[in-house]
Amino acid sequence: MLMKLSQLSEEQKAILARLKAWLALQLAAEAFRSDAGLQKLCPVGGVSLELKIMQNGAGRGGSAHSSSGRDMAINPAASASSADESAATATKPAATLQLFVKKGNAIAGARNWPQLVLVFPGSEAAIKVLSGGKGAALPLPLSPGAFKTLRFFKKASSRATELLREAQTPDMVRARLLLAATLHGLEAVSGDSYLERRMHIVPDGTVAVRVGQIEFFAAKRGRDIRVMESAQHPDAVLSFSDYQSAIKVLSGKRQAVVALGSGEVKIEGLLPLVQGLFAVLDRLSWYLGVSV
Amino acid sequence: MSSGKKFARSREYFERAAKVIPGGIYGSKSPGFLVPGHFPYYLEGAKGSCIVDVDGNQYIDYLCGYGSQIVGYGNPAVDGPALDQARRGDLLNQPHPVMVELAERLVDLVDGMDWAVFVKNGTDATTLATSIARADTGKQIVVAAEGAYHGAANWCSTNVFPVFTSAEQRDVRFFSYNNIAQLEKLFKDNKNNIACVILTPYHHPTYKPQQLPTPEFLKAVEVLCQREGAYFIMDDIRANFRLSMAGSHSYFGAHPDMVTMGKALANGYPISVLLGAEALKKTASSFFITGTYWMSAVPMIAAMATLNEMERLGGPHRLAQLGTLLKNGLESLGEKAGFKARISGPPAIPFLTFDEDPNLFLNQRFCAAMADRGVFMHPHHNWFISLAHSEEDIERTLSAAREAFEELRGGFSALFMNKIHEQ
Ligand SMILES: Cc1ncc(COP(=O)(O)O)c(C=O)c1O
Repeated sequence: MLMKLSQLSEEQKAILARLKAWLALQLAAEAFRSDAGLQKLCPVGGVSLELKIMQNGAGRGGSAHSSSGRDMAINPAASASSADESAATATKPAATLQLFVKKGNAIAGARNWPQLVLVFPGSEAAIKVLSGGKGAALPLPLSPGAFKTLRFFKKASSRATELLREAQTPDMVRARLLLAATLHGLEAVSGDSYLERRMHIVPDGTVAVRVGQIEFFAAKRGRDIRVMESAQHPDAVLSFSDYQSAIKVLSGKRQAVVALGSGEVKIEGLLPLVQGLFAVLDRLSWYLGVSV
Repeated sequence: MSSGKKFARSREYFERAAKVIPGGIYGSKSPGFLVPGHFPYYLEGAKGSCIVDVDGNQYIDYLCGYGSQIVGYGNPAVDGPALDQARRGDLLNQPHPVMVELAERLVDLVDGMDWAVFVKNGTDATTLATSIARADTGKQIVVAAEGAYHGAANWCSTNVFPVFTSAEQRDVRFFSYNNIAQLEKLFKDNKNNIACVILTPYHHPTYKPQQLPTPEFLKAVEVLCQREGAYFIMDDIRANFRLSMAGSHSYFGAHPDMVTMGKALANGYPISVLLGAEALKKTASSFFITGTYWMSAVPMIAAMATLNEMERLGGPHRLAQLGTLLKNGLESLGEKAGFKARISGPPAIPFLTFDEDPNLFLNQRFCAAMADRGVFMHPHHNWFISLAHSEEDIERTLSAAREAFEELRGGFSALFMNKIHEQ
């Protein structure tokens, strides 16, 4: 059933807020990687931005604990695929997400001293603002470049949306954006308590997701999913026959089962792991279908 | 021939299906469970051990309608009397007398069982069995082995949505098959709360090698159940009469209080049965048990005929003979090609896995290569031998397997095998 924002529980709102924030940062990073205009626009010293979502009812800002007591953090730093970062994140406020852009490189989740922290007073505010609506967001400048950073972030976010929409966007770029959004979306919702038992019965392992030149890896460990740019010996491989097929399936224009039946999508290896990801994908669509 | 052409009609139907049927083909028959591009999605007929798809491709079949075929597709010894009854009426207001004859026959045949209740699906039987155990003991908890399949009802299915995990699935506890210590701990942690232990006669999880019970395991289950006042249910739906005409529990020397059977019971006609020991008859009698189609006559006539035909064709002994031929052949061909290919489970219900590849990449490649050569072997689910298979079928299968293993070794596998061996 399609839900309205007001019908969500606090846990669900917190997850949706972090999902929106995480996707905004990841897509901005992706847009930067594939768009020369954005790269030029980036100040020489780079930009770094932090999104901080205060949790309703939680004593300390940014701590996001689910009703089960489990830390529901997206652990953005961990997705920058460094083990020590991942360990360090455990002590960070949960809903703190960063984008760091410098010298042709953009990493969502890097841990740095940001130039600007954009503070959302609660999940609902974050959801509304990050969905393009009205809501409270407090910019906290921490260095002189702060407002350039904010401008750059806004530009990068809207560029990501344009790249997804514009007809002249190369298929490869569009496929990469969609794939990144989907996989990072899985990262953000995998800790949902709705998925707890499912994540328990799905085996741990790594899935390589491939189309043309693009390759991502999604590693499932316990209740978490992490997206990585490289991994060895995946336990399963999900591949699309070409960029167009990936775009159609990932944008919902072609049913995944039909694409599977016609050979446009292929799954090899540890099937229960991939099926588990599909269940998380269903949950992701549920969140993305919430009307704000 | 390209897979697009070879399966043109299958694909066409599937595209149409996806518009009006959730998932196109839902559940275990979904194309994604096989290897799309190498297997058909729709079949239109079968005869003996051979199936034919909607594009006219033929296969020697080792899935046997997920085990429901035991004396061969379209066997006239079964279909003759069944169709005869169909013409005279299948679903009547009151049961046909064959219901009594079938109940008597099964109670006679299956070790330790004194009564029979007929249902349609295996799920009906396992659900009824656990319900009777709970009603009789007044206890809540059902214990099952991790990874075992007992049907598609909410209490046992893999639909693990929170609304079910917090309700029907809340009272089901799991332990590893063959692990006595874990089972003991479950009994200890849930003292006076366990109604029953439901087990398959041997462990046949999907995606994994099959596991036979250790000699002490089933004995320990019995002792624990007796000591703690819980019932022991043997879910024999998959193996059914493939191991013994007295039930698989008899084959493994176990003594359950209830036994569920289905699938091959009527060679594919829709009927399953819950059998029970005398001690549970009173509770079973106090249950309101019904289903519109549960007493239809045709499947019961078919079940009687299937039992006759199984006996005539050599039953479990013959199945084991054919299965052993296949097992030895595949393992030795695999070894010659440099693989650690291993058949697990009883020879009549075999499953091939590769020790070097627990993720089943090789299974998928091997079964795809077999399907390309006209042999239908499932990459993720155990296989079944039927009494319609012949030595010639096995020979043809092994000659296809020789090529399939060769294909695995060459081409793609050069890269892949390096990866596996590195690990
Ligand atoms: C061991 C076992 N129990 C129960 C079932 C459920 O039977 P059905 O699909 O007829 O409901 C199956 C089906 O595969 C089975 O193998």
